[in-house]
Amino acid sequence: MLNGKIGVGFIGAGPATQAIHLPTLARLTATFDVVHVCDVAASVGATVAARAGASYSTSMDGLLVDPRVDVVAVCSPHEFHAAQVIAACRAGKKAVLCEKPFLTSGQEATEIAAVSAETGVPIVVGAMHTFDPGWLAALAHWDDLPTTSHTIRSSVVLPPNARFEDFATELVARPDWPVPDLDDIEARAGLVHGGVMGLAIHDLPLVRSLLPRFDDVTVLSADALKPFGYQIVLTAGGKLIELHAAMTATWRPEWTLEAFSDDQALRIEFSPSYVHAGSATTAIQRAGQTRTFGPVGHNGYEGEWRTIAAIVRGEQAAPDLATLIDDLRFAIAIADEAAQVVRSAHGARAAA
Amino acid sequence: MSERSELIGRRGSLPVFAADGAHATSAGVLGSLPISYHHGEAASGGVTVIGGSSGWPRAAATAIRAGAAAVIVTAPEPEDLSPLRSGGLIVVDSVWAANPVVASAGAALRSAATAGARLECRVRIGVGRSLPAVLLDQLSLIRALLAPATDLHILHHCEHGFVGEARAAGIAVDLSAICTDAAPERADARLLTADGSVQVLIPHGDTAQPALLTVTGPYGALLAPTSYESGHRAAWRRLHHLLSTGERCTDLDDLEADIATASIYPEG
Repeated sequence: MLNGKIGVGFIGAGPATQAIHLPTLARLTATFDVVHVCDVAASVGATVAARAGASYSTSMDGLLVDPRVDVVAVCSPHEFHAAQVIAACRAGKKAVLCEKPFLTSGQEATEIAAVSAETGVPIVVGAMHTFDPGWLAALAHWDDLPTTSHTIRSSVVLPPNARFEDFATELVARPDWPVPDLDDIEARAGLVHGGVMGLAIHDLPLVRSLLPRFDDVTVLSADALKPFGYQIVLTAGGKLIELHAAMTATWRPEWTLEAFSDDQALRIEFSPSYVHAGSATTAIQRAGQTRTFGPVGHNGYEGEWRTIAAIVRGEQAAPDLATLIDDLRFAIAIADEAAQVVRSAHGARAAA
Repeated sequence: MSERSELIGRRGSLPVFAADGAHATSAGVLGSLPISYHHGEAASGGVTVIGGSSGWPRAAATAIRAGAAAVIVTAPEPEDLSPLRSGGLIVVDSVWAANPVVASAGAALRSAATAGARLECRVRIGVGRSLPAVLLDQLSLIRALLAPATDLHILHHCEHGFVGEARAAGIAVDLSAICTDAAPERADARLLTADGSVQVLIPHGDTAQPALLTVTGPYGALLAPTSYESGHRAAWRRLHHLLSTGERCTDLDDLEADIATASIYPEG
């Protein structure tokens, strides 16, 4: 650690690094120093590194041998996450933050588990809602809801990412926003799969924490929504779950997670991605009373970096890797089956 | 002057007779419409209010045969309507569709329901409610807000609620009902469009808590003026208007069609 601060190195200098993590760490300069940025695109890496006063490189190896890097943040495309997390663990870093999705397959999960056990390096997944004070308030106050709840719904209505990226930073090298051809059944299935792994995954750890088990995921209905979104109805652990997302040209973000039992109702309203607009607001209704928690000043992004600092300083235990892997397996099970339901429904329509 | 309007003209206000099980609802509404209605001792010559529990069509037919000018049925359950084929004015006081917001909400929804839009109709209801009846209430609301629902398919149902899919006015409709006693009953209809939404939150017909209609577009979000009037009171006012004007009432035909649609609800 430099001057008592924790040195951070980023693998990948894309929108997540630029619009999420650098603005977040700029709020935590007493704790963190961004010291190294690595990106295969040298100009992007150099530009982003310069914003933070960090050095840059075009290969992961250069970052991993940098002794100033205490924490490696993996913010690359999904398919590279597993190999880079493993490399960071083997490099003996103090912690690894991996953007979601943590991994993309069960095989990768097995490999990560082995490396984590071998190296003891803490791994944190950047599922920001799990660090949001609004969610943590729900965990602390929902009493028996994980046992008694019978219906869970996640609904996300957002404008395209650019709207909030542009409030969070001034982005360089913005990726193109894909416009899938929903008449192409594979594109349609891919959109649903990608929607689960890229968007629903924010809330799936929260959903899973309300389930007694998740080895019985059954998708009842799934389809893509235009221009980007999904509508998925499933059961798991004996509960009904609705996952809904619509990214439209609206200016109005609405991101909610709800859970219901016979005598309790939970509603969490999250602030949108990218921006530092405070925490979620949580309302728990029961017996004619509504208890409200939040909002407080910081959101889940800041919460996850605060957690990393506490882990590195030995003040807090690392997240349970088995829990993170189960979260991922739950997401993959839903994504795979939902995509298959899309294909099957198309096949049935074609046959008819 | 029609027979109906003569009834109003002669008496100034209409006598109301509450059948068994409808006294509490009737008394509350009557107290809020003291010029339009007054208490009556028998069905003959006035309005009879009946609850919509099992057997309500026979009770309504009996009231009509006894000389009732009209019947208000509150929250009708899906039943065989053949006892009512002989005629008579029946006004349906549906749990959500009777709310006075429906006229303005319907106009907003229908104008926004273009290709690619999607309507969610989610209701929160008390534990133990008859779910086929809840589905009928939802179908009535969808009809009132947008158009009759077609192609209904129930994806999942259990004692805690149901979730289904349908179409109305050429767009997809997602329906769900969630049973909980944690919060008051409410219907939430939200139409998502390419650049905004139309959302209406409708409380149970017992309360004068206002429904909230919000239209969101590129210009911002507009909350429509609120009406602190219960669905029951709005239904009674509508009946008074029908009797005053002699306008045709399609409630029974609409209800029969919605009952047919709801009949696919799985048994057990």
